[in-house]
Amino acid sequence: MRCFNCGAELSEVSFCTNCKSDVSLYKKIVYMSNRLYNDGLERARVRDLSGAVKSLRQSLKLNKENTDARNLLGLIYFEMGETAQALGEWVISANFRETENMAGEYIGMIQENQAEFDVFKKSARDFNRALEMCRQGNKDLAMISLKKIVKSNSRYIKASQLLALLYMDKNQYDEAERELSHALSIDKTNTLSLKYMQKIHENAEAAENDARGGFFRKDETPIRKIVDNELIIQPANVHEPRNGSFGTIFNILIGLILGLAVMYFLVLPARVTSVREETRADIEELQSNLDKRNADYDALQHDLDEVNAERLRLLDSLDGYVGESGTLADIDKLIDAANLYITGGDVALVGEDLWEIYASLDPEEMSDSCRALFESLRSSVSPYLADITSGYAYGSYNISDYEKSAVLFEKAFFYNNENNEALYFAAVSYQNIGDNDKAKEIYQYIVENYPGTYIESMSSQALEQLNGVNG
Amino acid sequence: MIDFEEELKKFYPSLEVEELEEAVNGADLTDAVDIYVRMGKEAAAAQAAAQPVRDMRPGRRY
Repeated sequence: MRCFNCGAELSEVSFCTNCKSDVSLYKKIVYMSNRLYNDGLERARVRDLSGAVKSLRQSLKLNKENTDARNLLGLIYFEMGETAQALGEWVISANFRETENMAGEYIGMIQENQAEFDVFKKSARDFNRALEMCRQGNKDLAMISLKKIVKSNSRYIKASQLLALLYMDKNQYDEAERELSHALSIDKTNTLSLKYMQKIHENAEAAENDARGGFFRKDETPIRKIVDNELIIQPANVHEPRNGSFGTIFNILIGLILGLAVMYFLVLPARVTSVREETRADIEELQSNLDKRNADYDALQHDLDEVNAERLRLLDSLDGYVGESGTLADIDKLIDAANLYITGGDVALVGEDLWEIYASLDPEEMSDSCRALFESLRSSVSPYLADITSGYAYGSYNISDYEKSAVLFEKAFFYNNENNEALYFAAVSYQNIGDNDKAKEIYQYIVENYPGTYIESMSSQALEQLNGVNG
Repeated sequence: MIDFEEELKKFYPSLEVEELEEAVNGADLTDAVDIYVRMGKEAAAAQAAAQPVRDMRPGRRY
């Protein structure tokens, strides 16, 4: 702090050590100015811009060279959209102190951003024109102009307030409220903004009281309150439910019951019908698939039956070829017999083998080679065995051993096909032992193959006799 | 209710940049310090005027 008279640095004493002037009151003025600056700074920090402006103006009224207060005042004007006023304060501040002063930097920053500076200049000019239009009664034009200003320079509080006033004049209170809420978000304690906001609320309440009409009607006026610069409109008669109260539980239960009823009567039937249709479609599809599978199964079963039948038939055929009584065994036996005969073996054994082959296998079923071999062997052994066998057969017949004679007569006929008597006595022997079927078979063979012979007549008589007995 | 015309009177034109020089030059920057200094000077002048001028010419004595 310097002496106002000589400019010397002041000490703690109440007079200037250089010019001896009394500086006690001067010091008090400077201290008071600084205190007001601090107050303005505190207010600005909580966005009480109007209060800050008042404090800072008082501070500067006490000490115009308080550059901190003047710079802060410029900043607040700038924040409120009054750019020219802010520049004015900073210019004055820079004149008082040319060095170590933020005012010069603020001016420089504005000059650097020329586009934004132009917007600020145009905003002030347009606002003044809009104000003039309002005074001339051209409210609509003024409103259009102010809307543009607010849009381009949203911090211009005066423009927002004038626009809100025009809205209120047109009874557009919601729009006016919105503009004022915005203005109050910049400057919380602006008296004009608060006054207009209060008027809006009073007007809204009065309008709703008029609309209610009856004394006993419930108050439905929305509760309006500003929290953190935001206008909150809370509908009347709407209360937050109290946690844990019986009413809350009851309401939840009612809601659940209603929900379940809606589900049961509306949603569930439709869902059940839908599910039923889906299920029916699934069942029909499954039935169709099942029918198809059954048809396939039947076809496969039929094929399997055919395959099994073919298999059994082949097995039967195979049985005819393999085994002790099969064709292959007979062929082996035929080869053995041929080998026995060639090697000079017992002719009777050869004949016995041939008889067994003949008894189990019809020579007509043999291959040509086998049949040729069979006939060749039979013709070879027949001269040796035919008579002997025939003799044994008659011997057995004479002693009434018909079972043995029946077979021996058949063998005799086997060795000698011209010995048809042996065949006849074989039939008689079978008849005697009661095997009439075999006997009739042989009689019939004789009748068919030896016509005109005496054994044919005897066979015919025997057949008639047997047929008469059987018939 | 809001009286539009009355409320309109509370609005003043904003300072435009073109008017800045004139506004700064014409601003009344008188502060309490100025008044105090002026009052001090005026008081000193008044005190000086109230005191009789002593005749310091040679041979003049009280």
